Amino acid sequence: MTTSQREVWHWVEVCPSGATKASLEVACKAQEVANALEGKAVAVVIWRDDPSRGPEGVLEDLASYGVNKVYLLRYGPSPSTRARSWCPPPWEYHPLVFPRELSRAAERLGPEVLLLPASVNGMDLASRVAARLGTGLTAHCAELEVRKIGGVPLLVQMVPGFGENVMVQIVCPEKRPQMATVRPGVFPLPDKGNGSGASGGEGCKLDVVQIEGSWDEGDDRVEILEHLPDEEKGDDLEGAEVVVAGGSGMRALGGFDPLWRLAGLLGAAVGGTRPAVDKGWIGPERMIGQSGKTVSPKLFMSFGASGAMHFVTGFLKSKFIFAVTNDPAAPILKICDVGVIGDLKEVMPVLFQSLEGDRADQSP
Amino acid sequence: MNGLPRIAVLLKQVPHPDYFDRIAIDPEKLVIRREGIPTATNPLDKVALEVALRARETLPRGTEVHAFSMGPPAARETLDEALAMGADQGFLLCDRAFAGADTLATAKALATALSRFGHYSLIAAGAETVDGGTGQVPPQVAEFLGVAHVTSAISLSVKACSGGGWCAVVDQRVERGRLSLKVKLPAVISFGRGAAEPRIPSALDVVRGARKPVKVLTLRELGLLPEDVGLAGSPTRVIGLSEVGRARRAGGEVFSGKASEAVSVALKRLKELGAL
Repeated sequence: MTTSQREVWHWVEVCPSGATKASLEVACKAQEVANALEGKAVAVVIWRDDPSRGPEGVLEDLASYGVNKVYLLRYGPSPSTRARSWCPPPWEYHPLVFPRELSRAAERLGPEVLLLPASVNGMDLASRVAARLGTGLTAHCAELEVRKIGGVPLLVQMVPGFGENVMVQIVCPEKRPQMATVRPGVFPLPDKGNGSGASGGEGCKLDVVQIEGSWDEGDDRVEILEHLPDEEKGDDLEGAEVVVAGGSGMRALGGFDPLWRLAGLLGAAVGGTRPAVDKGWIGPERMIGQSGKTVSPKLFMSFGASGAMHFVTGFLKSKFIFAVTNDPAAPILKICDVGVIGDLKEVMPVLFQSLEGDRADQSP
Repeated sequence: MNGLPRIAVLLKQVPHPDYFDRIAIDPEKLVIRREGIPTATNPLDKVALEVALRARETLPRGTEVHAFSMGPPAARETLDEALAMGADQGFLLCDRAFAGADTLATAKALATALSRFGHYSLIAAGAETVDGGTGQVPPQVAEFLGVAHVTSAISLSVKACSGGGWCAVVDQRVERGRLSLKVKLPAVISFGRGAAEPRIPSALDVVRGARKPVKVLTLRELGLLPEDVGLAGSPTRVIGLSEVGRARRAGGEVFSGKASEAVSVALKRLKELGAL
């Protein structure tokens, strides 16, 4: 045993209800990585001092998911936020303060690994910290494992390759920490109180180490003015039993209208590939894949998508996959359970006819 | 009195997103085989350029928009497109030494070029590329330049600050809604979908664009060392590929032939499997 234990840090993003689900998924994965490295997982919470709101709720969340050590990075309130009528909550991400404070702590304490959720803020924070520390960073990891390479245990980070159903394995052999952002929805979240904590039943006590940060003068360069109302989020996708998704092949049918109709018939949610989003057929909140949503419905139905890995990685864990494509060589045909090779213009009408027929049969 | 603001836009030439399924990765060299794959300018980079061009219209006469790209000689096409859309000048970071760069080495080269060729007030970029999709380069450029940044912005207005200089007010899209932020320039701002609809240049625009200057920047002109950039300056390494198979469930099958028959047997099979 070395005197100082290797630490695997994971940044915890906070929302009004506590630690985000994506952060808790990362917390559990960090625990696994720490076990494999014979090290210790440590959560990092960044919090602006606010006499009315402390981080206790977030710390309780973390403890109930098996976290047993937290670095609580506190920084002082900015003079300007105090003066304004709307004050960002103490957990609100700040693109100058958070990267600086996290980098300072990492420089001082030297974690072996630093994991973050691949949310907008997590990616933002990770990028700037990696540049500041001069270390490597892998985005949107779908799998992480520890493997000995040349006798050294390294974090192998996996991201989708292009076609061919392959993932690319990336390591950061020399620089530290080894950094990765983890795609939300990929690693399952255990039930509350059932955390994968290495210490089992006895390690329930949460060790909170406070680290003093600061609000620096130049931090006023970025000011958060207000929260704007939520837009459509495509939330129905994540819990849907059936997901109907389309790719650029939907061009043949003039866009996504047939998929919405199909979704209506099946009570399904609608999603799509990045090209479909870029063509404006669906909103970005409905993008499935590497930098979009990860879904695992009972039935995933893909239309007019060839199945590039960037897309496939977003639904690979579906129970059943059905695919329609006109390309007999499309990679999606290798991973689907049931597939149809055919022209969407011919396939779609037949599909509607049969499904609408089924529906008529079922109605009293 | 404010000096003229200067705007830079970062653009990347990428494999065309409609052809991703045909891109293979060489299992030995672990590099992407791009032969025969058409290229395109990364869609969100064009969104960023459009935002920059519109911002220029609201700013004092003489405000320039400069386009920067790093890549092989063919990446010049991306700059030509940017110039046709309305950028005033192009810079192509092109040197064999830049090859194989991860986001850190890319950001370092871009930041060096940006600081050498002008004190840019606003550096705009796409929030992510379609190929790497990391979104890491814009905030990393900001870190190297020591300036503020915002990622995933969906709107922009640039104004003179009350205390002098220029400010940007942007809306940012995050998971739980949107935020409105005020940023004192200089800053790097990356733009997401919906920030603007990129204009399509006319034939005349293309002709005009072709007359605008493009400067090629090599490693020497940037004053960087080979170990700072490219693969040598990249802390990450690709070490291998892994198959992500998914075994077809027993009873599953791919059907072809006459559409009506193929669909009906496929649906029957889905029902037998209990999927439908």
